[in-house]
Amino acid sequence: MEPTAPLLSVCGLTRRFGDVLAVDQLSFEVHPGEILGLVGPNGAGKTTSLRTIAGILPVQGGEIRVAGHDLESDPFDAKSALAWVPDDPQPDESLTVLEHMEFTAGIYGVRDWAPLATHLLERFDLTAKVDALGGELSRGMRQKLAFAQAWLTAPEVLLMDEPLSGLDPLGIRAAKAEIREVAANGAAIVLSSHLLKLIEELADRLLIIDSGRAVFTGTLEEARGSDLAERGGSLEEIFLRATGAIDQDDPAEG
Amino acid sequence: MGRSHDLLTLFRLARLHWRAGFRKQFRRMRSPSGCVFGLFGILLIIGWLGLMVFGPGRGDVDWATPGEGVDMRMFLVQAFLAAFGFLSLMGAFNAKGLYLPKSELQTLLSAPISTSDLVRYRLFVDGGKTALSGVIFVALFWGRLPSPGYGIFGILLALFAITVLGRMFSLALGNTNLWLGRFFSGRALGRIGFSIGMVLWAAMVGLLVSSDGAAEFFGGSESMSGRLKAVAEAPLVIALLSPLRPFAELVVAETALQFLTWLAVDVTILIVLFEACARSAGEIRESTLTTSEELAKRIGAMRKGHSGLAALGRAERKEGARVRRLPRLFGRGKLGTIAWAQLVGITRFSLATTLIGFVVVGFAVVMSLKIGGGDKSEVMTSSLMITALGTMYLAVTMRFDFRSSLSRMESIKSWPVPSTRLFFATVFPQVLLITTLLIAGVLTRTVAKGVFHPVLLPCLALIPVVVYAWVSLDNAVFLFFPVKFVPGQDGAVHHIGRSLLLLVLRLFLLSIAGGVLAVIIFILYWGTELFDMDAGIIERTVPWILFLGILVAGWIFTLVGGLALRRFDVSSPVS
Repeated sequence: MEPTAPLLSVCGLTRRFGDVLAVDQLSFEVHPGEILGLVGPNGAGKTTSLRTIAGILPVQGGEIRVAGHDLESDPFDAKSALAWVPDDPQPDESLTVLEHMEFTAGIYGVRDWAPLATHLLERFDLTAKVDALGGELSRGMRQKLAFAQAWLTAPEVLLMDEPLSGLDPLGIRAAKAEIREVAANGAAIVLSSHLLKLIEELADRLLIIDSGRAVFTGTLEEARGSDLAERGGSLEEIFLRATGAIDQDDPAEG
Repeated sequence: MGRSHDLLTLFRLARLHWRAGFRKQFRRMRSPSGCVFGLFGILLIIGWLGLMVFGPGRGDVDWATPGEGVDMRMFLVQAFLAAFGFLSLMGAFNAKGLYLPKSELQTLLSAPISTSDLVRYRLFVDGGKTALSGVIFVALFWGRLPSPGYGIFGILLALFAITVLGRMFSLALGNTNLWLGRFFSGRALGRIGFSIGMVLWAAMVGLLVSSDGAAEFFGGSESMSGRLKAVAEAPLVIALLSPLRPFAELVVAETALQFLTWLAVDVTILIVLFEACARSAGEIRESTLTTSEELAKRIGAMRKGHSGLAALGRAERKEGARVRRLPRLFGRGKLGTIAWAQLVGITRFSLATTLIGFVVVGFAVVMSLKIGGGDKSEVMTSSLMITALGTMYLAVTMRFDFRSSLSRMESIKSWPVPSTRLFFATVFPQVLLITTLLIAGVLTRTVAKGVFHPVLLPCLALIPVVVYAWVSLDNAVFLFFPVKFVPGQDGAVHHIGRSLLLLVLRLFLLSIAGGVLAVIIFILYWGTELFDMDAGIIERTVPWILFLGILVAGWIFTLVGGLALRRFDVSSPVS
């Protein structure tokens, strides 16, 4: 039972790059408090889909609604409700960590941002780096800053592409707890990752895509009960069968 | 000396790099547009070299009649080689130790290869590059040498020998076994070389534009040949240039005997220098790591769109150094926030910005001082000159606009801000900076001339709208065709062709705007004639028409820029 309206609704999303069909009629919904795990092999169209939903790439076909706003006809309200954490965040090299928070607050119209920013920087272990320039941050620090910036806007929809890249084990643990908390506060989250363990741990539902098309949508339990797995099969087995990497009829390979 | 197969492997690596470079160039030329850009680039290079070989100025130097007392042709060749040598030595400050490309750095330093062989390998790579750049010098000197066939050998050998000397100097600066290396260890030397270069540049411009100062400096002689002769005869100059004499002799050789004699001498010098350089390397691993990483950072910054000088400033900034906070000058709204962030970028790396500003505006002001005194047309011409020169050069060199934002386009496009406003807020701080510099330049000229004319005020009022129109047009075209050209990038011929065509496109679009304004002014002029109106009306109206017309052009370019930003595809590779 789904008592509330979806915060993110994607219907028939299609995207081409020249002759290559990168995303083909992709449809899904994410409800408040839900984490959707987006998985697929390299080149399956995950990042392209997320970039299109984030308004970075134009919508060529289909409809995207973010918190009730159509991304094409009402892009600014839609984008205001959405936060995007890319796989390799590129902060402004000239701004300090704190100034990045100030900048994000300005762009998203967050009032009285300073106490919240200080709190978030503390939570993401960036307090010692508040005066460091964006160009001086390590990969993991850049990732943490991207989290803090996204959290500052209190997004209704959160899109994350490989969010744990570059984080140390402590950072990974903290990030997972933070993602759970944002979802618990009612945000709809789409989490794309190759780390199947992470998806297994965090996602409420799965969306497996291959060659731009959805090959499975449902909960992990539903996947385990389907042809994609022997009963109790791992997500890795489900993923490999769904994407055709191993034959569905061949249990030995699973 | 290392084992010979080590060196052979390194040579094979160099050969593979060269082959890969050509392969990339040809791959770029496979598509129809790539082919057009490539061919245009080749034509431009051939045209440029052809202009040097066959263009005007070939007969300026009378080789047949050397000056009395001192051989002027020998002096000129030595002076040219000395200038190249100076640049090479200054370059050594930027590259202590050995520079190894990012892809080779860790592999080669950890491989069982002697340092001397590493140096030999880099010297051969340098030699290849010198031979390529030598083509330009050969073209430049072809029609000016007594026997070009002999002379080009002299030029190429001399350039290579100077490159080896520069490398020796950089190795000494980076060798921690030597006091020189220890003394300079951990010091940022790029600014030393740059500062020396700046002082010399300023002195040269000063001497060129100040007739009185130059005449005094050159012993009272007013003519260029007289000044050069005075310099050539100075004992200090003769002593300083003497090490270059063997190469200059080969360059100006006229008979086969002279050529063969000096060729043997120069080749011997080169071999000795080459081996001395390879064997003098010492402990250069630390400096090599530092230099290679710094240069990689600089190239990385340039690939992100920053200018060479700004990239130097960014690469040399000490991590954790204090930063000053900039107040929110443009308000706390979305546009104010974007403009503030851009302005922070400008002020935070202000050394490079200030230097670029002073060099460009200083040069434009100095050139404009040559234009008469203080009457109306002279004030207008000089203001136009400073504005045109300054706007074009500063917009290209400063790059505090979308050129430096390319790596963040994914993030920028996700902001909830309409693209036209975003475009305006991004370019506005750069417009403000260039406008301030240009107004300061025009006022400096006025003060230097000591004459004020009322027409200066409308001239000053036009500067911001002219700068805005150009910067918005420049960025709009850039967003439609995001071309970045970085030294050492593959496909240079392709990029040269494309960059030039895009510049032509910008100028064409600007000329359309200018044409429309000209038509409006012509109609006004024609109307006053036709209706027998007061001619003074034109004088009063034209500045307003220009102001409003350029403002409208800037607004149109902003709309186009917004459209370009909306269409910008982050998934397409930028090259």
